[in-house]
Amino acid sequence: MKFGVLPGVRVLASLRLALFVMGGLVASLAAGTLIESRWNADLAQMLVYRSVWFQALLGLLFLNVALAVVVRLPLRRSQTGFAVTHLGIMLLLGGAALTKSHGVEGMLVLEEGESSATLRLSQPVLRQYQGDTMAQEIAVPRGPWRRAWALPGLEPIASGTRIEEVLPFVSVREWAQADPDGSPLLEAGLATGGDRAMVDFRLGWGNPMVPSRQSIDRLDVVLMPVTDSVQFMDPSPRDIELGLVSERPTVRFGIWNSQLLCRIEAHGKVSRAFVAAAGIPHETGFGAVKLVVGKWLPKGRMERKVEPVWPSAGQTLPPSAVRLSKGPWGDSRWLVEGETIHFLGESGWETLGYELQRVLLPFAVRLDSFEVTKDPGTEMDAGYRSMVTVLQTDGKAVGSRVIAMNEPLHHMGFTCYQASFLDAGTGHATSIFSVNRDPGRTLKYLGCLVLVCGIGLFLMTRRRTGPVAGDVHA
Amino acid sequence: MRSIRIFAFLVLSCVGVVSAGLPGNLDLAKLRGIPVLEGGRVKPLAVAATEAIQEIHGRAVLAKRHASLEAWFMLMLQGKELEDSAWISLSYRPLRKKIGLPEVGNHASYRELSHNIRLESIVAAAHARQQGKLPLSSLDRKAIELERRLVRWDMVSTGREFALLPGPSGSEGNWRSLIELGQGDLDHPSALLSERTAACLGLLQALQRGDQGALDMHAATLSREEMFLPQNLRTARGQVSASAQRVRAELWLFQVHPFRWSWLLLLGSALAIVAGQILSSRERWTGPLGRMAWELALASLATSAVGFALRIFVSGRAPVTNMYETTLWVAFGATLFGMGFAALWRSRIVLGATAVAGSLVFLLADAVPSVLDPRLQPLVPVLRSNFWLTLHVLTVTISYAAFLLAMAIGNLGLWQAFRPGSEAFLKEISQWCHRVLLLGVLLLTAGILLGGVWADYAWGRFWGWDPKETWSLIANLGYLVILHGRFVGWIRAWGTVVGAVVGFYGVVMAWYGVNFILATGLHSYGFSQGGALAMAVYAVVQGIYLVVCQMRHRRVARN
Repeated sequence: MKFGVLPGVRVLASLRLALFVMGGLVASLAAGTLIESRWNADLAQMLVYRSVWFQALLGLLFLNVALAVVVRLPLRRSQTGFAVTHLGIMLLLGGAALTKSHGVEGMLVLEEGESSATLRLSQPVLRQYQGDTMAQEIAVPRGPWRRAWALPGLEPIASGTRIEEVLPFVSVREWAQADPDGSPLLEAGLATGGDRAMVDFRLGWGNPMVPSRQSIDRLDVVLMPVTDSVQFMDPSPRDIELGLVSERPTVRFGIWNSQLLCRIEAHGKVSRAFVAAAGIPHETGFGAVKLVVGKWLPKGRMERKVEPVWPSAGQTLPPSAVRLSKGPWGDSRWLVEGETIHFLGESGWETLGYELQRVLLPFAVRLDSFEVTKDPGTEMDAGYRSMVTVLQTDGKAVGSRVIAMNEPLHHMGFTCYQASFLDAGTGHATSIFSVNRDPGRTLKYLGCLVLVCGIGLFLMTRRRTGPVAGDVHA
Repeated sequence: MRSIRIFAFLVLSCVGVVSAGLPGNLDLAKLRGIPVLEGGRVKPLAVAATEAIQEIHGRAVLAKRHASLEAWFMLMLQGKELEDSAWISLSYRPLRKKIGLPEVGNHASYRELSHNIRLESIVAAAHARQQGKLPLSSLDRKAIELERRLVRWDMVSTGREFALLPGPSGSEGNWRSLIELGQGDLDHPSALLSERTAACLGLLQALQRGDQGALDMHAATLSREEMFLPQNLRTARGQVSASAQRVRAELWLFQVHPFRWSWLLLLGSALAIVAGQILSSRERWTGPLGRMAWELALASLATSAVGFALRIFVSGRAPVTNMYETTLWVAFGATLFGMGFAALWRSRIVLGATAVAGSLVFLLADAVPSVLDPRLQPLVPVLRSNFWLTLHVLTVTISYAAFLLAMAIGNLGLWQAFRPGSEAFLKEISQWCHRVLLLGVLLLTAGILLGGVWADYAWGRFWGWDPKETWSLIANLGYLVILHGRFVGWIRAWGTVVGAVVGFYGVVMAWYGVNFILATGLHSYGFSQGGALAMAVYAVVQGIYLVVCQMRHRRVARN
């Protein structure tokens, strides 16, 4: 039986299917752009463009286009344009598939003077470290829907452990709760003007989930036990005891007999000391900034709830989270994107992080300087230029280059583009580069050329190519 | 040093203190060509003043019949006195109501708006939403627009609107506004700089006194080539003359307005064809009226070509960097293609469809400057590649021209539903549509692929499903469905003309909708607001016409 006469092939090669696929693409692409307009581009990518069903639709298009040529073999001369056009589409789709399967695309973020060879990708992974060395990395595909998995990749960490659930978008709610077996916990804030909290912070003592020291705005806040309350609360301005001096203004909380003591330190001296009461604003002496203690628990524990949420319109996507089964880290627990847990493994202390995937480049880039040029007499940006030095892995400089808009850097198969920048006013600008390796680039460029030539040929030699049987309507 | 101090004192005393107003009989024509630095480039004073007054007032001419240049000088010299005049455009009723103004009205005074606490809080809330990347309401957008008008008022009335004098260092960035004349490195003046500043002062005094002779003399001094061009470039003769010619060319473009002539001439061409059709439906397209239509269309093409040549010369880039320019380019392309096809097929009907479509689109570009901004502005960094801008954007937009032409011819085809016995003509029209669609698909495909190559070069990815890319693909796929359907006989003559009309909705979405309605993605430099009502009217009217024709066609087919 001739290949083109097989019923399945005939259907797959038919123009009916082509029109169905094109109609499907039109509908799904329109939906994708509306999602991007209403929510954001990442969600549109997740729901449409990178979804399995959309890839399948493109695969079906490739098959249809290829078979449409195959069933007409051997081709007549008048069918050259038709065949070349379809070959161009196949090359383009093939190039795109190659990019998706073997390409690398990530961001390189560098502050002036900094060098790095680490690309940040958008794919989240579970990464296990033994000490400072990365032991393994487990990809966790992030889809739009909630999933329950038994991911065996955790086996090397501890037998029987698995990922129980993946939530694509979560919000995390944490609160302190009294617990007779717990440790001291404090929730407080700084207020200015009215009594509305400007910055919230949470401190704990002997609690693995809550730090005892934090840097808030331009202050350090510390929670510590007090051995000598008289000394701690001495209201006269005096030098701070050796070992406690902080370079920045500090609000130090002391725990004494279920009481919360507080003292303000600046320039190495104690300026104020008082017993802090919940709900009452206390003067700090730092301008109009007041201290407001929200909750103080001499014995408490942190409660935490990870809840699924739907992205808000126009906002960046909420983080994803994975729930790990019971393991060396204790009970089953959630790990939200960006978080890490420390646990005692077989070979000592280990870390498990749920982070964005990173790729090490075969070279490093150092940002020497970054400049924004302006249009004359205005504050409008005219151009962005990053002056960089490309370094070998041993740190030896390869050469100085400029990366600007429409002026990328090509090196060792990777291309580095000026994507964005940050200028926080610190005197050191941060340049953000989009770096990629695209193995499908040649195929795509070839596809472009072939496709345009094909359409040109088709228009010049336009005659009936002959529809597949069953397509002719009348 | 002493003279500079005196000068600064005189300028500052002129600004804001003059209260007599501009003498009514002063002719400001000679001032139009004075080069000023505004919005990142050097341009004629007339253009800068018109843009400023248009932004503040909504129109270039004030209700009291003050031309923009006169209004600009009045605002600069008598800003305080004008604070009670209703000069600032504000017609959005909800905003007027919210800030305590009468609900009905088109303008408000500076005093009513500048210290309006309600307006301040609305603007602050709108900015907070903007910074938080939250969707803005119409009220937010109108409040931000109004804030921009107030800022512009402040800039003009305090003499900081644009820079009139190059600084002594010579670079464009160091040009000085009037208010800055007495500051900084004027301690090291050159003879030329002294002459410039004296001319500026003389000009202001002449305005105050109503001295036409002195005004013209100082205007001529300030318009002299060596007076405004950067000193460090004066030796590079080529650059100097190029820049001076650009200013002159822009003034000519501003005064002659060739694109207005384009739509008028095309309208004349369309009327000539309609008249020819009414007088004699058998008249050959080469008859007297046909010839007239042809000549008018050619003249229109010539005027728009001159307009484009001037815009390219002034801006130094392809004329497709904003919605206004692409609208003109599409009208130009449709006229060019339509005339070519009309000549090829010897069809005055095609020429008529071309003239109607072309004149309407040229008119659209001319009629709504608040939506289709005609200003020549500096480009965002990513567009500063003339090579790719020319290749990609020109190709994509010229494909829209082909689709516009197909849509116009398609609408003529739809009308055949009301003309019994016109099946043969409908078939001919469908063939015309088909050929024009083939051209459009070829150009759009090439344009999309060129865009992919540019995106790969500039952003590092060939295709990223950006809304602009995606809608171009959707429009192309829509036309491909029509062409493939026709190829296998599913779509015939009637289906082709319907397809040419329906397919243009996809083009409108890719061209206008992504920038003005979706307003998201990497092509953010093309985003703007307004015109949604006009587009909705087009979509609805076109849809109704399509449905009526379709119903008529079905009834005729059944009988």
